Amino acid sequence: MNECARTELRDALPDLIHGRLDAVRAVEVETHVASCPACVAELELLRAVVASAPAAPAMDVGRIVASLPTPTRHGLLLHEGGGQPSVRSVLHGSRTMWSRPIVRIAAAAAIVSAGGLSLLVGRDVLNPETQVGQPRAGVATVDKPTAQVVAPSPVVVASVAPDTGGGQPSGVANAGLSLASETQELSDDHLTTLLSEMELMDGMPSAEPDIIAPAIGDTESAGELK
Amino acid sequence: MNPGSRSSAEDTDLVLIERWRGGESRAASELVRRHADALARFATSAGEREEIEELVQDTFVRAFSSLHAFRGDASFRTWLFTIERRLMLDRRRSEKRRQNMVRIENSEAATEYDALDGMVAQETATRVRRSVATLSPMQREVFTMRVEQGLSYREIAVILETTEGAARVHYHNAIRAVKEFLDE
Repeated sequence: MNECARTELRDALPDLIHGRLDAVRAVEVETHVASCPACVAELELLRAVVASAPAAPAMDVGRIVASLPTPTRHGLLLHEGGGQPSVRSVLHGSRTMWSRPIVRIAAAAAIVSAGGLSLLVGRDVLNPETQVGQPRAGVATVDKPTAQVVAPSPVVVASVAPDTGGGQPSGVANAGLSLASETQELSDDHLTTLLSEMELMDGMPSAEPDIIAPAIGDTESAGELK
Repeated sequence: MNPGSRSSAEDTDLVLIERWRGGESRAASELVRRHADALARFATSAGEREEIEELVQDTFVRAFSSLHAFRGDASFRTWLFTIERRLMLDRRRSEKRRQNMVRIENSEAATEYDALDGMVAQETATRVRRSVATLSPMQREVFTMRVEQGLSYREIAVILETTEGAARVHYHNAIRAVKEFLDE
């Protein structure tokens, strides 16, 4: 088996077949082949290999293009069209909105702010001064110190008001406020009289419960138990 | 001439890629039109017989999805071949388990190419295919890339992740083996 010793020219034979040589190089190779039987034989062999290559099916360019991702303004890659690509690597190289540091920082700041605000709101709700519509601090509180002292006690009165038939339609808090204001308007004599009347009231049950008389039919059974 | 309809035939692949990145979808069409048939031939030469268009489509989808990784060190077509070859390897691994793959093994190649007799009219061509089928997998890959696809040794080295020198040695050993087979 003869082989050409001009290896660099032999290596160029496939390029000559596919037209990948520039004009100068192509002429050089063709000139050599014309005078080299070994290269002629090899060139024929290579052409036979190309000719015998199995035919490739025709490609549907439109279908392939329809399955391709498209770049967006944000650099994200989204599929469009009706293609059904089996490779789901579209998002591998893309960056979502949440992957951006600025967005993450903004989200963290928003969460912290919301948490702090909720704490402040929660403290205001638990403050009794705020519940009754009084300012939390300042001149108004100093001007009316008695209101701060008296306010809790009417709440107790108001809580028992429905049992005594004196329910206030405006709610517990409003009832407490109205009773407190009425109490403040009483004079010392009236208050003394009111307290003495309250002492006379038999609102408390006796310490000793009354003896419950057994029913007549239960006498025998009571004796059997003994 | 309408600038919007300007033919991109004279544009390089890199220019088209940049245009596609800029939102020009027509650039993708031109890239697919340029390389789809070559990818189909490459797959066919490598022994693929079924769902070649799906393979080519997957190659383009993966390529366009990871264009940020394409640095242009090699040509776009070489990069496409690299991707397609990896997809073919994945496909063969998965199909090997199902034993449905038409593998170009020494014993099966003759049967495969017997089936191609109808497509290849000349007896010489059939013998050529059989001689190619006798090559080792690496020799066959290098040989088909070099002869059928016209790739350079550098491009082959990139695709096969080897060196140009190794690719050259494989090619010369392959063509020597083919000649010996045909001389028998």
